Amino acid sequence: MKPRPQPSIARAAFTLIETLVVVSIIVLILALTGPALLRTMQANKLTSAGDSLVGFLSEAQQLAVTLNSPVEVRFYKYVVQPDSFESFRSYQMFKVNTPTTASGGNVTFEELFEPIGQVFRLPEGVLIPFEAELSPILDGEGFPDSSEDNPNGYSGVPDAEYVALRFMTDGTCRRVSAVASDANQVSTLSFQPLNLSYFTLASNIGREMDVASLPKNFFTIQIDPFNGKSRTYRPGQN
Amino acid sequence: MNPNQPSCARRRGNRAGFTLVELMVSVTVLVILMLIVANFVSLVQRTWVRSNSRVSQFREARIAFDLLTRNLSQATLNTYWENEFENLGNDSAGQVITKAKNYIRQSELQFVCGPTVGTNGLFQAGAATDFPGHGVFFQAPLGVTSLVASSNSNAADTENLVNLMCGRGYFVEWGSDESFRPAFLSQLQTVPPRFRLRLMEFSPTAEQNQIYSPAFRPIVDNSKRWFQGAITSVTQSGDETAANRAFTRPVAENILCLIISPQNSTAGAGTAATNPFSIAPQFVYDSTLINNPGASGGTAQGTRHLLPPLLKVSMVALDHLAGEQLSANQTLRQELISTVGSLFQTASRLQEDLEGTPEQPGALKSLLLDKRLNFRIFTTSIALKQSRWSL
Repeated sequence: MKPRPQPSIARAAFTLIETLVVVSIIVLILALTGPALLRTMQANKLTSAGDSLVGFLSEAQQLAVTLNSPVEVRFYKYVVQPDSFESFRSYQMFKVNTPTTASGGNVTFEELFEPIGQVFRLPEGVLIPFEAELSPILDGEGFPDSSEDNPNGYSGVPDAEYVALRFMTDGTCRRVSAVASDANQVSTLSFQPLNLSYFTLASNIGREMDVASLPKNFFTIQIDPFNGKSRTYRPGQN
Repeated sequence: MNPNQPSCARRRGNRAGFTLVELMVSVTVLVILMLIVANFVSLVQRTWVRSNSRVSQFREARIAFDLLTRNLSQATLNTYWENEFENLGNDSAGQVITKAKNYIRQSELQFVCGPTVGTNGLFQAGAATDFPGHGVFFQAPLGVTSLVASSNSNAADTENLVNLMCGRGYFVEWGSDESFRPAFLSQLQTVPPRFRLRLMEFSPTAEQNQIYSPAFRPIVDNSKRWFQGAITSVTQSGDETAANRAFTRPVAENILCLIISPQNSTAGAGTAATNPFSIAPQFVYDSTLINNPGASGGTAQGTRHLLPPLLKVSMVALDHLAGEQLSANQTLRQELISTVGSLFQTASRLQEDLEGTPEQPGALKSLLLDKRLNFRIFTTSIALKQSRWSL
C-alpha cells in the first residue's frame, strides 16, 4: 500500500476565507437574534414581576378581610446607583393594629404596624416610575423610612421613602395621605378615583421616565378603590 | 512546484463534493428533524400559553365568584309577622272598623333574581344584547359606608359598622373600559379600549340604600325600583369621591353569563315538595310576589317575603383569547348572547342547557366547545342562612 500523498492532508483543512465566512455568519445570526432574545427575557421578567405584584395585592386584600384589620402595602422609593433618579423598587405588607389603652378614664390609642413577610424587591432592571401620569396612585409626598430600629418597619435601604395603600376590612383600598404623627391619631386615608388609581411597571431606561419615554412594553396595574380588585393593562392585549 | 499538484486538484474536483443523492438524503433527514423539533416547540408553546392564560384569567373569575357567593349567602329579608286586618265597614262617625283576621308575613326588603331583560326582566331599560344571562339583587348586612376620615383628628371610625344594611347586585354587561381605564393609555396607540363582557357589582352605600326611599314604599307595589339606577351608575369619570361615587363597578372581565336558579331544598324539613324547581320554574324569583312566574299552588301567601332556601349559582367564564375573539367578531358575540338568551328559560332544563353530562354536553357547553372557546363553568349551591322556609 502506498502512503497517502502529503497534499491530501493539506486539503483537509478549511481555508482562512472559509473560516471567516462561517464566523461572520455566526456573528450575523447572533447579532440578529441577540436583541430579540434580550427583549423576550426582559418582557418575561416584567410579566413575572407584574403577575406576582397583582397576586400580592390580592393577598393583601384577602388578609385584611381574614384578619379583620387593615393591611397596608408600602412601596419603597429610593435611588439605586448608577441611576440618579428615585423610583419604586420594593414593597412590603403590614398589618395595622390600633390598640387602645385605658387608664383612669383616659383612653389612648395608637397605630402599630406589624410586618407580614419580607420586603419584596422588583427584579433587576424593573421599576415603578415615580411619575404623576404613569403612577398617580403612588404620586405625591413619601413618608420617611430611614431608621434601622424603627418598629414600624424598615425597607433595608437608607434614606428610602415609602408610599402606602391600605386595604380595609370592608374590601376597599385607600391611599395613605398622611401618617399618624402622634398617639391618639390615625393616618389620614383618601380614595383615588378609579381612573387615577393605578401604577405602572416598566424596564429601567436609565433616566427618568414619562409617558413619551415609556418603553413599548409596560405593565399597568389598576386597583379599584371601592372594591379592591386589581386589573392589568398591557400593550398588545386586545 | 509539486508535480502532484495538478493531479491533486483534478482529484479534488472529482471527489471533494457531495453527490446529489447524498445531499438529498441529508437535507431530507434535516427537514424531518426540524419538523419534529418545530412541532414539539409549538406544542410546548401552545400548552404554555393556554395553561398560563387559564391560570391567570380564571384567577380573576374565581375571586369574583367567591366574592359573589360570599355576599349572596348573607342575603336577608328581615321577615316579620304582622296582623292582617279585615274591613268590617264604617261606623256612624264614618270611621273604618277593622278586625285582626290573621297574621301575614311582612318585609321591607326585597330579594329578586332572574333574566336581566325581557318580560319579567330585572331592568326596565337596557338591550338584551348588552346584558346576557341572569342577575340578582338583594339586601345584606355588608357594611359599605361612605363615611371616611377627613383628617387625623376628625376620624370617622367605621371599623365596627360592619353590619350596615346595604343593597347589592350582580349582573353581566357588555361594554368598553374607556371611562375608567388609566388616562395615559389614550396617548399611546398600543392599548386600545377593551370591549368585554364583564361581571358588574352594584354596591350602593348604606346611606344611599334606595330601598328605604319613601317613594318606593311599600315594596310590594314598587318592586325592583330601588336598583334601576344600577345600569346608569356605572363608573364614568375621574371626579369620583368617597361620598359621591358610581355604584356599579366591574369585578371580573370575560364573564359570558351568570345563571341563578332558586331551588327548594329537598332536604328541608316540613316540605313535601320533591321538585326543587317548583318555587322558580322560570328562574325568576321575586320576594314581593305570591307566586313567581310559572309557579302555582302553595299557601295563600306563597313565597312572598321568603328567601329561597337554595341558590344554584353558575358563572360561565371565558379566557383572554376568547374574550378578544368575542370583541373582534361581532357575529360570534351576538350568536353567543342570543343563545344564552334563548336557553335558560326553564329551570328544570338547567343541566341540559348548561353543563350536561360527560357523554352529552349541555347546549351552551357544546356551543362553546364547537366555537373552540376556552371556558370554565363555576357552579355552587348556596344555602341562604336567613331563609326560614315553610310552604
